[in-house]
Amino acid sequence: MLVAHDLSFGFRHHQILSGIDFALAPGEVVGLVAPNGTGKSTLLRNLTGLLKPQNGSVTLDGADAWRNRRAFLRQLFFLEDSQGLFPSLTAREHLRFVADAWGSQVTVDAVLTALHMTAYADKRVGQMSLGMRQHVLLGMYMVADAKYLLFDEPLNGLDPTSIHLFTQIFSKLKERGKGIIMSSHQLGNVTAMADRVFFLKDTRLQVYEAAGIDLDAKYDELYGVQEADW
Amino acid sequence: MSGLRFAAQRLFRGRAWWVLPLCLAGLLMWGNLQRVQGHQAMGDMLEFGAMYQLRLHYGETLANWRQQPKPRPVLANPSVKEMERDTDATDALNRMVRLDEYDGRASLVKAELKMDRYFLRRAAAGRGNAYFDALTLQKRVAELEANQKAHRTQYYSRERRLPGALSLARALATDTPSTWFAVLFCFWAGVFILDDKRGRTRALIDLAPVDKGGVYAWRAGLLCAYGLAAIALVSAAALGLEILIAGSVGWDYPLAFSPDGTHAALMGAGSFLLQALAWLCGAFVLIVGLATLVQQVTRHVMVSLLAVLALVLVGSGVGWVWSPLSYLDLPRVLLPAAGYQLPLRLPAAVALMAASGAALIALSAAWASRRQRL
Repeated sequence: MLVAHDLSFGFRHHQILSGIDFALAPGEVVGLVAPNGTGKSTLLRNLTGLLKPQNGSVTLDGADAWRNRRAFLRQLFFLEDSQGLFPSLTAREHLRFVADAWGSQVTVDAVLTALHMTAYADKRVGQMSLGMRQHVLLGMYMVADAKYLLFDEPLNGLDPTSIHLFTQIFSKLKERGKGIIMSSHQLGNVTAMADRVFFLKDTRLQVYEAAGIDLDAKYDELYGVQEADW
Repeated sequence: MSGLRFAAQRLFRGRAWWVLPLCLAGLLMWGNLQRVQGHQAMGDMLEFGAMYQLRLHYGETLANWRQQPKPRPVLANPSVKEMERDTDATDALNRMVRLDEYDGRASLVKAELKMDRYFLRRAAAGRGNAYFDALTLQKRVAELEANQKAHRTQYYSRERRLPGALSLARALATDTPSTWFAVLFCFWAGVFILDDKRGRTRALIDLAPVDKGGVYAWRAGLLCAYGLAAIALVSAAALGLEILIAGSVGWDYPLAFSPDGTHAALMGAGSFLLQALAWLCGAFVLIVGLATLVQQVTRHVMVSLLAVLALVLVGSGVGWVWSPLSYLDLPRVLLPAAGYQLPLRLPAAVALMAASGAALIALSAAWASRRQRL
């Protein structure tokens, strides 16, 4: 169980998160929804320990994010976006590193085949398009085989075919018992996949069951629609 | 071994790894290129005057010692042996010049002649040093003139074709300050050590359940191995090129090491090369260790580089006796008379630098393992 307790974080005089409390069970998919600049990525960075919360704690099956770092990280995979890939390394080398580091039983070749990446598996990431890099990124999540997966806008830069493929992969990850938090602006995909939806509003989380709400209507209610004044 | 493989992929897949050998080759070859193109005569060089002073000093000291009524046995006194050895070395140098073993070196004789005449004029005019004996100088000028006449030596005004080992030794001894090497090592090692920490690629390693100390240890270890190999190969290539140009090796050729022109140490060119290259290797490992430690407290590339640079420059200048940083100034290691007295000479000084570098890497790795963060 990934548990955040009373988490708060801010930059100097700008509070971003306050009193964040939630628990994520294995096999559960949570959609994290908020407009740009609200703090979705900051929340994910706090959950993984890339940023240190001002208050509160994050534990994963009892392992604290800061005190039992290796045990915590072994059950979790998060890479914010494809900018975090090494431009000089190939897709296959990235996947091999992840498989070794996480001690995964999932084979690199199986993932390359599943994501239709064999044609560019040995191409350097720096020479890939955004869509290809997104495939590499998802491949790393798959090959890590971690218990909890945190995604930050995983569908950015993808064509409809790839979005369909990614959505299928997410469903299979859920079937395999992975606990997933996924921040996304694509409300339709969130509705299709998520069990619960977290709205980040005024530094706090508002939690809803996905089946019980109209996501678009709730989004408009919480954040409104800004008219272009131009 | 996956950690080693991943570190090697990240280290050598980029484009900057060849900057070190390229800059090293530049530093080693630049002085020689300048010398070939320049018009500097041997007599104008700092080391020449220093060597002359050294010989004079040793000659006088030896003469005074021999004139004492109850001299100590010659072989029982190591300082006297040392003086005799150095005097013999300079005599050997003169013999080589007289026999015209190497034509380019003959310019030394011409410069010596010029210098002796100058001192003779000063002594005759009653000015200048009390060291110089007018009769001795007159005798010496006559000897050199006779030598010049007897051997019909062609004297060159420029020093173009030094023996290979001597040429490279000269580049390391006088043309390139040791600080330049230290600065090159600081920037190169600093950038490579810090590479994992800066930029967005940091997150992948930071969030991997691997020993972060191991990440640093592999990286620093690979960097040291590559740096030492680069130093050895580039030096060998530079030496080979010098030998090809000169047509002779000159491994045993006497070299007067005198960066400041006031003190000199006599040694063979080959011996100096070995010592200088060992020093380069020790300095590289020490600076990699420093960079590994400094980047534990910052991930800003310029802050890290400037911090390492400041530590190296200030540390080598302050001269704390047992600080390994004091040994980053090559002249002070090879020629203690030119600066503060350091307790260690080569190769012990190199062992101290390398061991300190390894200890700093181990300390940084332990620190990173404890923090579990890059």
